[in-house]
Amino acid sequence: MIRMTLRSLRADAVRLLLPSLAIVLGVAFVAGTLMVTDGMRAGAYDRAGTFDRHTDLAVYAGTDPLPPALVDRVRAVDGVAAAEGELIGSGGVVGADGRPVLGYGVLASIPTDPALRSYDLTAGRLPDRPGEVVLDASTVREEGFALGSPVRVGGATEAARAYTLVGAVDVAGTPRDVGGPFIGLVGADALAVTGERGYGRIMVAVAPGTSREAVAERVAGVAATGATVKSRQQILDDAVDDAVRDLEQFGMVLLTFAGVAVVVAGFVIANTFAIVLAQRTRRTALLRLVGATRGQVFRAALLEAAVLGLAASALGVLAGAGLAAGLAAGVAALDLPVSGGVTLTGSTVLRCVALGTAITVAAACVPAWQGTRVAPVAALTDAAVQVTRRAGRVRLALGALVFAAGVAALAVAASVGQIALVALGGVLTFFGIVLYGPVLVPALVRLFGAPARLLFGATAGLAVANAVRNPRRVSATATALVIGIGLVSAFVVGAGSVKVGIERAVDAQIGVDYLVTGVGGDLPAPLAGELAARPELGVVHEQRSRVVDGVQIRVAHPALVARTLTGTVAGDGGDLGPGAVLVHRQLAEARGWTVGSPLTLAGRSFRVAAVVTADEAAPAGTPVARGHVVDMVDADFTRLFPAQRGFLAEVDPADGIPAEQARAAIEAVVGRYPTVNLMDQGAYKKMLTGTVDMLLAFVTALLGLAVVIALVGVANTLSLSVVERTRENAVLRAVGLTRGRMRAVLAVEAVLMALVGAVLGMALGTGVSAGAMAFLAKIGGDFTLVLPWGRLALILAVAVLAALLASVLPARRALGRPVVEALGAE
Amino acid sequence: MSLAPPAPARTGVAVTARGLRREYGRGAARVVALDGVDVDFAAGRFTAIMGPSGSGKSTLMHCLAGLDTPTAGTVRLGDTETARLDDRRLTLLRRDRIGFVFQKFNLLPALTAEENIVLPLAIAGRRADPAWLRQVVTAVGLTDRLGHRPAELSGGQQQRVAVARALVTRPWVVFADEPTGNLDSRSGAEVLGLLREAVDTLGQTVVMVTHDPVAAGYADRVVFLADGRLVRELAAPTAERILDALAGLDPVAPARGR
Repeated sequence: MIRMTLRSLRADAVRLLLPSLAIVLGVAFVAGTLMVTDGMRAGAYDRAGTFDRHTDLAVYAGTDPLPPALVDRVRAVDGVAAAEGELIGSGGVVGADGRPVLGYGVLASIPTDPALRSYDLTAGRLPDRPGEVVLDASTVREEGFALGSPVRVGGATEAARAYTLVGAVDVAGTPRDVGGPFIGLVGADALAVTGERGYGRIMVAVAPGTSREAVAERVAGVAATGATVKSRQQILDDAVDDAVRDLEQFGMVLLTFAGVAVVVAGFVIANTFAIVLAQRTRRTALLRLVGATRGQVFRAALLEAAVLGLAASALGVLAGAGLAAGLAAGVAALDLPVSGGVTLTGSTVLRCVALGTAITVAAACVPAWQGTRVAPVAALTDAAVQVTRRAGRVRLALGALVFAAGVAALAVAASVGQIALVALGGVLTFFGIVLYGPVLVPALVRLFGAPARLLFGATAGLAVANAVRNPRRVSATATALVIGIGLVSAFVVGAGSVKVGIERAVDAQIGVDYLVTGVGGDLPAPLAGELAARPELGVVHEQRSRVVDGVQIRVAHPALVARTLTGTVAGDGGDLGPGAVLVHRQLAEARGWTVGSPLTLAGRSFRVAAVVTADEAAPAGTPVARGHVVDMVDADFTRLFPAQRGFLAEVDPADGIPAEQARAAIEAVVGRYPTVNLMDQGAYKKMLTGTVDMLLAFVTALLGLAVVIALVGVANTLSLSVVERTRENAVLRAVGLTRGRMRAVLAVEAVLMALVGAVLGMALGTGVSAGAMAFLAKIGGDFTLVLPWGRLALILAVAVLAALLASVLPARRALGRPVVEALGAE
Repeated sequence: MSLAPPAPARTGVAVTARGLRREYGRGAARVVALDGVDVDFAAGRFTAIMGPSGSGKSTLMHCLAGLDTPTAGTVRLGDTETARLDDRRLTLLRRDRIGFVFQKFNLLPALTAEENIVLPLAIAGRRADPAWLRQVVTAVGLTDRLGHRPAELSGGQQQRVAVARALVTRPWVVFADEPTGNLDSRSGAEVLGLLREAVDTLGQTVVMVTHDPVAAGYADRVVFLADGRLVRELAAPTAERILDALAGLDPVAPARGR
């Protein structure tokens, strides 16, 4: 039986080529992901100790930074050879063109004691005294800075100052390389530029011949409460843990998408076996006739699946290695802040081959069981015209039920307030489509085929008839596409809706022409004051806020505050002024405040000017109840919290000043602060929505493979059907169908299948997105469902084009045999 | 390109073959299926092609019908020389000028009987003349079977659908390849009667390949093929005369099928 199975596998090799491509692609995705993440993990281990080559132990700050005086105390501890504070913050560099160097700038203090220095210099030396700076090699190269020349560096506290560039270091691939510039200063300068009061940690080198444990204990005795002392091993372990945790998450995300691709491949395989076994009915019956049991025939089919899965998985691992290598090369070429080669382990190979084989066998199980349910007598009857089996009533009823449950879950998810219901609803709806597919899909094919019939006449008519003659087959083919396209459209619709929500929020909240934002941090302290001092500028409003005792205290600008409010309950919002604050309705009700009530905030007294309402969510990640907000003028806020900065300032030109002049005035100020960015409203929106677009592109790329595999499934179904219809197609050719129109028949059939899959997928994706948006709107936030028609049309167009492509190979097969020969085919 | 529906040619020669030669394979494996055949088929007549297995009768029909390309020689259908046509024009010629009836019925299982009948017209993007369609359907006796699919019809009914499909375009020639080969004798007789009737009442030209002397007996004329050559012909044949003629062709195994 085994030998016979293998022989039939060889005979059907061509038929199984396309479905195995589905497995190859799915396994390649998994294998590539594992190889890349393994490579990155290896890289993370390698780099974990980069900045601690000489550190024997270190004191880590708790909530409060470690003051410089503590460094001296630690240095004085018996057995300590060297001790240096280290601070990692953010800063900016003014580039050769006078504008800030792009990207988030990492600013670090560099030890001056050679015993603790562990940076790799590519040129010059490390800074020894205040006023000296090193930058990362790529920034030095790109900006064309020369050693010894002045470079302007700025941070959160003050305008950029010139430092002498004394060297260039290589930090590529380390945690201190996040894509922007790296700035290294001596400790005192770093503290001054970042405005920090102390260091994040103190690195200690132990004198030779001294017990590290003993020194650690003595250092712990000196260190402030709340600080922790870590041994060298702990430092390295923590660094690896940090790196690996991120990697693990990254790997999980990739593997999730790979899982989707593999599931789609499983659909394609299941469909293939259903078709191939149906075509083999006579052969199976003959085997049964001469004495094979059903179990034997079933096991033979599974064995066939196992061999196919094994071969395809092995190829998939190879393809995955190629994919990973290509990806690694791409990452290297793009100079992205991730690194690490490709690591191929035996476990990866084993796991991938096992996964691919298991999926193939599992997918083949049901079709194999059904396909081997053949009465021996079938071998004797004329099976030229096969009667297709319709889907069972139980299946259809179950499908309708599951579908209804899924839609209901999506509909009520928002009102119940359970995001899990959205996911559940999506999955249930999908399974409903799968179960009900044999009725739903042919009906849709007929529906979409109707206009095609009007346009193309008999060509489309034949295509429709061919597509729907085997409902289970066309349904399985289309639903494979539903998974990928459904997920892509869910993300596309979701992203589109979120973007519109963001833009609306910006329009509602920001009523000015220009915005100054901090790059990855708050605005430098003097900035708002300097902007306000320019006569060309009218409104300068730094958005600052602070939470005290469960109340969010915000700065409000009298000229802008009206935009953020939706109504006034009592009093007049215009009365906002020194000592007079706006209290939001929920807070006023909770505290029993009315207009004129006195209140005390952070030890100072104020008076309620008005009770107002605003339609916005509570700030995320704080224990502030919705509407527990007080708005006050900037001067009052500064008196309460002088050090509290914001990351965004709104700026409007003064009356009668043209936009260009105002912009020049802002630029004159901002140019001296390399950690801030000037944008107009459009650019600000673009910055916020750009992240959404980037995420969407990433997700779409990852889901693309699932769609490709499903389209391979379309080509596969068509190909197998063509084999089955050899004689029919020959008749069509004999009675006058030209080659071109034969191709057209298959193309229309492919397009119809893809179209139904794509439209069902889009409907499903939109439904899921609608559920998610309703949920978001419920928990706060101005989100409504927005359909990005252009992008949805693009998905449809891509699906149709790909389907046209998928019909090329089957058409070649259909036209390959001479008519006379094909007419005689069984 | 679409040819106008022609009236069946009632007089003269419908199909002409001159020096027709068809070889398969090359070198030592070369097989000569047709070895210089000259033959005319009169319009409005029913002609049968007979011959022992491997005599080349099916190949001859395929070449005449534009399904196969001869190695040498010419085929003229009406005023069209098929050798001059590319695949597309040849296909359109088949669509508009030729009807086919096959041994294995060869209906499309996804289409109903009516859809199968009008298939050549549908492919051409034309509608069937309702009166003509009714006449054809009535003639083949399928009026109450039009909505059925092939799987729901008996063999005889399927072959009658095939005959209707061949007649519906009013072709110059209907080629029938062993049309009774898969039928019992009664259904076979019905189908042959239909073809005969098409010739007699409609002036249709019919060329039929068969190995069955009884079937050939329905024809006006029988041409005999042996080893790829035309060896004999018989006018106004009867089954007995045909059997005699076949016996004369191959004394060892007379009329044993294709």
